[in-house]
Amino acid sequence: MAAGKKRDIAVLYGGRSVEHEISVITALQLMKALDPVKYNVIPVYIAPSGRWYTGNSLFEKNCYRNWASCQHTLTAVSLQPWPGIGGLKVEGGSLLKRFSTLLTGRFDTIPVDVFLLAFHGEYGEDGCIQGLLEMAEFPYTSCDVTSSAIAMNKYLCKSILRDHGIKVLPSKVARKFDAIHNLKSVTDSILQTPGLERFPLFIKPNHLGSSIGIAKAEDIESLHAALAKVFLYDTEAIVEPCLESMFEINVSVISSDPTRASVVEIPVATSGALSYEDKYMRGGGKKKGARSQGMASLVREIDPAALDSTIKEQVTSSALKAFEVLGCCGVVRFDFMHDNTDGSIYFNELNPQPGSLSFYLWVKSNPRFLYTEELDVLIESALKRRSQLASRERELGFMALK
Amino acid sequence: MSSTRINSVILGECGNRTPIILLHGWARSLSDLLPLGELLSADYPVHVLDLPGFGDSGMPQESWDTIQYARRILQYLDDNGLAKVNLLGHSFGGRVTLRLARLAPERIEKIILIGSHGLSPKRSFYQALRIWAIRRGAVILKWIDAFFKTTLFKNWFTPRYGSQDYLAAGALKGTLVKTVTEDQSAELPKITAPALLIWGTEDLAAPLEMGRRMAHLIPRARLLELPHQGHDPFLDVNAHLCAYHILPFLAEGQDVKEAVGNG
Ligand SMILES: Nc1ncnc2c1ncn2[C@@H]1O[C@H](COP(=O)(O)OP(=O)(O)OP(=O)(O)O)[C@@H](O)[C@H]1O
Repeated sequence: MAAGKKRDIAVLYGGRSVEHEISVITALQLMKALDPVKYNVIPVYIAPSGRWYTGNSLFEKNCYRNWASCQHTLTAVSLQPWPGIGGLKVEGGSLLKRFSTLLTGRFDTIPVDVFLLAFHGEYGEDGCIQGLLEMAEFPYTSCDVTSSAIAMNKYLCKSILRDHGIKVLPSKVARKFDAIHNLKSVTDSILQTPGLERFPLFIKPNHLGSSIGIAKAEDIESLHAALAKVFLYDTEAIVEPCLESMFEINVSVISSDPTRASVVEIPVATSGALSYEDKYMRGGGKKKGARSQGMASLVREIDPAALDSTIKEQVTSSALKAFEVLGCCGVVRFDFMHDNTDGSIYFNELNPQPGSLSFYLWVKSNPRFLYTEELDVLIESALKRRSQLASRERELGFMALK
Repeated sequence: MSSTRINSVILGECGNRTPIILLHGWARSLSDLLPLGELLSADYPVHVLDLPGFGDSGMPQESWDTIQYARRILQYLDDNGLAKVNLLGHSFGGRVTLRLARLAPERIEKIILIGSHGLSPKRSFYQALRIWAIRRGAVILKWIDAFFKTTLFKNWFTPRYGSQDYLAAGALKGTLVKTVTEDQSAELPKITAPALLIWGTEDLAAPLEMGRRMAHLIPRARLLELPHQGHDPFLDVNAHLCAYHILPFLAEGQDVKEAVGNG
């Protein structure tokens, strides 16, 4: 980095997703970890209304709790999708200011060098915001449009990874539109799918995260109920066989040079009855509850010493492969499930902007990244990716339009 | 005095690196500095201490000043066979760190001060007048109490004008009175150890102004200002940011020394 000048880092978070609040927590946390010597940190909050704001009150938790009064202390901003815009457009302002904008077409901008994304869920994690940032030619620290969109479609993501030799559970998508017209044919086609002939089945929304709307079905009636529940939140449901004895294993991958995988974690709180079969676990690992909030506060076992090393290796190599196949960038978390009945490991899902950006894994990894270092890595790799995109040859013209 | 028990948590197994001693603030305990200690312990042996009178350490027999605290820490170093250490002090722990840096310069490699006390704060004329009036008032009330056998000082004055720390100080009231007003500004220019000062710009207990003066007075000091942070800019995820700056500071000059040592 050129000595002297600080980079302007806009932290973009909140948004119109059910996981809005988790995103705020992730953002507040990471803003504390960003190095103030290297960076000038600009919080850019997308309120549930979809409007964008910036201002110093956004560093305070209270601002979000007392939104009605806090909002007045903030500056409304927006992002114009114009290449080279260089920053955020300041909206509103005094009458005089608005009049002069009207006359001259010029407006105030807040300069931004890199957008650091801290979204969870719809619009922020699924390629939407990424599309806007691509159009304005900004560097940003997350998966790109394609990999984000694939990650947010569980069925699509699994299909692609299965084609590249990564093990996934059989699955079938059920659409709300079809179910409304003919529920019987929808359930029939689910039960005729190879691997889904027998109950219990597991039903979840195809797009949403945070375990919203998930259910287990033991028979046709509960399958109907589960589908109805999913269709409250999503237009598509994904149906899989239910693994009755399993544990989850997660691992984070970061695009540094080279791409690295973190230590693995076994989240304990996510599935109440987590059973470690004796054949996979030798003795008990140490239990640790992290002090921070957000994803980092889940009860989890990080790099459990007792976990079979072949399981760790299998998860890590699948994650690195999936990262490459899907063209991910930034930091992501892959979630796997270990079937205790036969020892199979299935890819379950990909979180393109994981809670707390998985820093609690990187700080235990080798080489270790402090959260501040992880954010440095993300910012550098976003800049590198942008300059690669900018170096493409692009001849534009009107040759065909004679 | 040296019999007062010190409770500590020792982290990290980093061979012959110079250990770091972590000293917490007033009315706090070692648990404050544990997350930071854990991050530092990847590269250095770390001793996180409960200062006497706090946490699980013993209560001093008499009211100590910061020099007595410093002497007790030196005793701790001896007891643990630590010839040379790095010191990190937060707030009140900073006062003790500054004393140690003067008391035993040959044993202190580098010092890190976070929102440290040790200088008297700059006050406006009105604030100074008010404090003068409160101190005079206390003296006069104590005379009255002694003369008329009343309890005005304890029951009327203290709840109104005693500081939060004073009210909560319990058996440590004497120590608080001895230490809270002390000003080490004459000593700071004589500190030889390199110093890293970390300050939250929103620190209300030890305002940034104090950090800037301290950085000015200590010859080999560098000040790191953390925007939007208060008096404890090392809790939770902030520990990462502190460690990010502390570790390179401690590593500076290490390669040279190791090379010389080997040669
Ligand atoms: N086929 C399955 N059999 C048994 N349990 C399952 C199955 N699929 C998922 N689960 C359980 O349901 C939880 C939620 O599933 P999944 O992770 O796919 O959905 P999600 O809502 O995207 O969750 P999140 O984003 O919070 O990780 C998992 O953590 C796992 O415990």
